[in-house]
Amino acid sequence: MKWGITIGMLLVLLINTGCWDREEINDIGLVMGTGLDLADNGQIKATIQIAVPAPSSQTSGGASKETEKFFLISAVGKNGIDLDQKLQQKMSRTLFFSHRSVILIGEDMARKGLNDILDTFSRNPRNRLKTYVLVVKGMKAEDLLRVEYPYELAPSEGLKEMELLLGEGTVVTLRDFFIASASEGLYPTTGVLEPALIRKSGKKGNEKLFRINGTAIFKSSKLVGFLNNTETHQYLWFKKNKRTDKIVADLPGGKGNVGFILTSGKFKIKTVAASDPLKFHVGLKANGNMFENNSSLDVTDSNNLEIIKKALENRIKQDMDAFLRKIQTQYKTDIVGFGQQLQRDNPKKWRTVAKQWDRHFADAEISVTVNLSIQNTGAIGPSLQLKDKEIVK
Amino acid sequence: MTTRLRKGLTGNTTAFDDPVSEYAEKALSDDINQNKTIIEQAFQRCSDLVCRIIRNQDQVDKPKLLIAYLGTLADEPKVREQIVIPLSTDQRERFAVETEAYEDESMPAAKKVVTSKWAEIIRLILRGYAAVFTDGEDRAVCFAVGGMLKRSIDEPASEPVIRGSREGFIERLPVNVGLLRHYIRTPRLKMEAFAIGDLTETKVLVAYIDGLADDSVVDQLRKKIASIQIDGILETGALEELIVDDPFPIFPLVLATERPDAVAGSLLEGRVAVLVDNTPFVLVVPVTFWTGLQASEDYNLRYPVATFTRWIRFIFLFIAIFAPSFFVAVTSFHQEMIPTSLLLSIASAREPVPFPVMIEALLMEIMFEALREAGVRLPKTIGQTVSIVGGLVIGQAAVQAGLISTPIVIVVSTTGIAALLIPRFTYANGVRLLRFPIILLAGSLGLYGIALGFMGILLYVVHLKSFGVPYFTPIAPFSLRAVKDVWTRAPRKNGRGLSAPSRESGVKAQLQDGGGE
Repeated sequence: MKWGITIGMLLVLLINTGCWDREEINDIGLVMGTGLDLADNGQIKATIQIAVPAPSSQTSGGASKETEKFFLISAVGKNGIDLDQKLQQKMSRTLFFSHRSVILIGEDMARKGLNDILDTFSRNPRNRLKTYVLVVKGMKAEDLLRVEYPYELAPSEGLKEMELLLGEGTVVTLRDFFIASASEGLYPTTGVLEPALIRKSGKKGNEKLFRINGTAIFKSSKLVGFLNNTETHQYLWFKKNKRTDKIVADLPGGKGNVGFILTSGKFKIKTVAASDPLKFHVGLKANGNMFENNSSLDVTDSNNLEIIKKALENRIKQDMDAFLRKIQTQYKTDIVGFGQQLQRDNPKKWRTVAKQWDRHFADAEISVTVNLSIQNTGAIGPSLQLKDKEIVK
Repeated sequence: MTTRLRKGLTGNTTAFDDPVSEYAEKALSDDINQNKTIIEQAFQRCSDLVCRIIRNQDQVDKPKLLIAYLGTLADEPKVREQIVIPLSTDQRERFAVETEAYEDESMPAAKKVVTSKWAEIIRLILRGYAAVFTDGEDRAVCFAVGGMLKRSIDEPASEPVIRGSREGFIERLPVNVGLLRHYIRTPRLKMEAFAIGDLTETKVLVAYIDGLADDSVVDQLRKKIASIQIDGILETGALEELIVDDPFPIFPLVLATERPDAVAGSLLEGRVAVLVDNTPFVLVVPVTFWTGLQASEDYNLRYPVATFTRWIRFIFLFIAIFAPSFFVAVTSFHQEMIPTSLLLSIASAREPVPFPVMIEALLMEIMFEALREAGVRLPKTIGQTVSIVGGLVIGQAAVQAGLISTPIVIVVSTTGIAALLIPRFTYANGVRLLRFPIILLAGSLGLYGIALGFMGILLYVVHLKSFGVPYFTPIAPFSLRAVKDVWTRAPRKNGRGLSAPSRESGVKAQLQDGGGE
């Protein structure tokens, strides 16, 4: 009897207190991606991409018709919660944001500023800080979400995978964005998506797809400008230790060109103490393999290799100089983190320049040195098609 | 059950009366006819009672000898060759001499008892003895002439091995003792005999190696067995329940095995075995939780292989208890834990299913248990039918009909296999039982429920004691030297006994630490 009461009470506890947040998989709408655009009335227009779980082929039995893999719903609202509510009203299943892989921000929206919406992405526990943030250039975020990507179940998944290919574009998650945004002497960036055309087999005409191209620069949560692809690759030197890059360099004297695949790279920023204007020194160090040699040089000869190495180093240095010039003069935005470095190396000096860091940064003198080591040139010395006498030994 | 039945039939109100008590006080008479009447009265309506009378050739009217035995227990050729022929041809009235002074001068029978008590005579007759009464003598000589009804020694069906002995215990106690004696040839192997059951008089032996076994364990066993009052036990299961005080026995506190080598190994490790007549199962005490995960074959394999196998068992023990509940918890509470693509394919599979995932899991688990139970009780000839029907119904048709989803089929079948990995089936039964409450917890509280359930199981298991030894020895209380036989199968070293690891496992040490009850 006593046992009976105990078990009964436990059951009451379980039934009345448990299950409150139980939700079957089929009662949730999996949001794969969100697009944020500026609505006509100045509010935010959010578009979410919701995955449709296809009924498994076993159950349908026989000819299964092509079902949509995803669909979109949009709503215009003032802030995150407002949007959430308006979107939910259009859904028969609870919106589930934990699996969202990308947040796309339309160019208009980005230029207007993200302060109205960013907070909800960090405060709501069902949002992941690992979500990638990308700015869409040249088209609305909503339209980009509509693109059917051939590989993945939903295009957002495709985007996520694209982002994961490190080294090809700026990879920024919400977390990175928040950290950079909150840091002194550092400005946040995101990757940029652009529409691209592709021809699908069996279909007439071109279909719109997208490509990752360049970097968006933010200043106090507002988009200030873009970097192009080459500049982005220079920027990536500073993002993490560089994983990979492909470098093409012309050899001096019109001797041809070489292709180089970078396998690892390091950077080091040195601040030169107490100078005015500020002086920085960027040291780049990289390893890699030469994969293409469109010249008559025999690369088994170390002198020839030295020529190639110099050419490659010069190429990197030029690009880097161009990149630094652009962010210094055009945008006046320290996305690399020179300020952060100064703060670490010379806090006193930093305090004097912190308030007008943008101006100081624009005036700073930055020198670059590149140190490349070619580790592998392939098993052949000169190109195989060359005659013996054509080869420069 | 039997007690109640007996009460109803006879109107006898005392629960456990001694069936031969009414003869306990009666002494033998020296009149052979009177003895015959009494014995026929005792075995009233027992059609297999045989009374043979041998008369003097000259005094035909006066019986000289009465031989009484149960024809179904005694071996007829033995009776003739060892009793009837010697007695009827003997000129020196040898039977009389036997009962009197020269007890050593034996008849050809293997075993004999001289007694003048009716109660004892009746008991002996029921054990396959033949009682010989002599005219003018108030004592009877009982000769063991029992034939043994037994099957051959086969490979134990419940615990097959690839490498190891193929012998298994059978239903006859003497044979089982013989098998054990073949393994351990020392007089230190003691066999203390008990008889349990007022009606069944079942022989029970407590076997242990003197000096290795813990005295307090043997003592506890002796006391418990002696205190048993029951009309009969038919199998070790009944005895197990009577000697173990666990009100809610999910995990077994004794090990039941059919393998003589396992019992011999346990004896060498200082454990105590309980052999019961009429069953091939032998009980071993004390045991720990880990005993259930140690197959006897582990000790015949090379130790890296055996260690690997043990780890596989540990992993699958967890899967056997928690896999379905983990699936339920994660898919109905913590969808954010599942990788996106897996979540999408689970969602696709579940799209046509009308039930919540917990109901689905319970449904399938119960179906699986039903199939398993059907498989155990099944006559071999229709075994295939069930496996085909079961496989098709559960595996395919149910999924196609949209009743259940494919992931749950995978989870349930994995769980089913996992439970089979536990070498001792009594432990596996406990594990299978635990699965269901944990599914309920997972379905109502999610992973938090699983954590609660796991804590509950852990609390329950560590509180258990098998004859004074904590059930989780040597993990809790911890003993580094003994834990080698749990986490690994420690390699053997020359000069160290087989008994070493387990005896240090705290069977003794822990008892001295106040573990003994």
